[in-house]
Amino acid sequence: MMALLSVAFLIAGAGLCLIAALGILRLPDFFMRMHAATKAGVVGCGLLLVGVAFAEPSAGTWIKVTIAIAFLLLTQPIAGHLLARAGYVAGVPLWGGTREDQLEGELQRGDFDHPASAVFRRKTMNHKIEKVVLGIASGPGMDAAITHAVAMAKAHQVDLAGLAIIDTKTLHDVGPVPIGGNYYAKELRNTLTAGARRRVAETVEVVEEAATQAGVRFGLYVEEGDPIPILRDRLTDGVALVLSRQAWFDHGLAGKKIAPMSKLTRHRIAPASEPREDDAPIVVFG
Amino acid sequence: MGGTLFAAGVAISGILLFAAMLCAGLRIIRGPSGPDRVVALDLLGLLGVAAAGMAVVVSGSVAFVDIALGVALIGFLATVAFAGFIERGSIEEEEGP
Repeated sequence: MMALLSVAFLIAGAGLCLIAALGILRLPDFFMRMHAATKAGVVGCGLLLVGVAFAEPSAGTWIKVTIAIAFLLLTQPIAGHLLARAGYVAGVPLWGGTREDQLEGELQRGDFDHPASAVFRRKTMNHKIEKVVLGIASGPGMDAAITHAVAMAKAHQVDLAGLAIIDTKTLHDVGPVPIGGNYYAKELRNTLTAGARRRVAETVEVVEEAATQAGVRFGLYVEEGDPIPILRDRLTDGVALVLSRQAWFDHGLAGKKIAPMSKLTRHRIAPASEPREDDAPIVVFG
Repeated sequence: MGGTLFAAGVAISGILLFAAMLCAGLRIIRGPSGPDRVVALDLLGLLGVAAAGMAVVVSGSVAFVDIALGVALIGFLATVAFAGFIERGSIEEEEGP
């Protein structure tokens, strides 16, 4: 009798585990898979453990099995919830047929670099470069970027546009302030922004001089805000964007090291050239 | 009387479990995104608990129940850690102090 019960529970448990795994394999998006894995998985595993307790019936086994099942029932919902939340916040794409996203507006979604999506493709070369845009940051590697951009504009006989961005998103994130410190945090933000403006002005002078010497027409845009959408806006067809490999638009004032390459890759802006040397500028084609 | 039936039942559930592990493993290989793999890994941890349970039945050694408990604990911790990584984004630069 016990053997029969045991076998019944074992097969039911293993069958439910298989159903969960099939769900993982067949369901179309991350959230559905998560739902299959955590629900059916816990029930399947729990039934199988009950079958084990029937097979080796003793007080110790029953207690241990009960503890194991209780533990699974306590932890798996938490794990599933955490995973789903993390996936949603990270911006894992929803299935195309999803009709309602109840978390829309409740949680901020990120920009998930989805390896299989066609959005992230490496553009090698334009048929024709109509404009060279130089991202004006301050810091190491900027001289190489200026030289490269001016040479590029000259070689293709096109205008050079300087795009000076002040990354206020990073600069205004001054970290936790103590109670009563908000006034000083505001001051700090203003000081940082003013410092960034000064550095932009210095770099722009250098670029202008280089452009006049090479006989390239030079125009300037100045923007403040999050650099990624600004860069993305500028990347229209025929534009070659030149950035420094080491200097970001915080102009060295943010107090942390920001690698432009990883920043761009993270936001699905694909550079054309592989890194060859440390100082070689990043080139992105629109 | 019960011997062959029991053995057959254990064999069947073992095969089902193995097929489930194959499915989860295939999803880990396929991806396509990191979170998908983490979910499949989570399920694989659960299947590991089930496999430890099967080991009790096959070997007759009750000690494997403790192993099942341990695997469940480790799987939970791993999933929580991975969830943290996913939420913060793995390639984003580390936040300064």
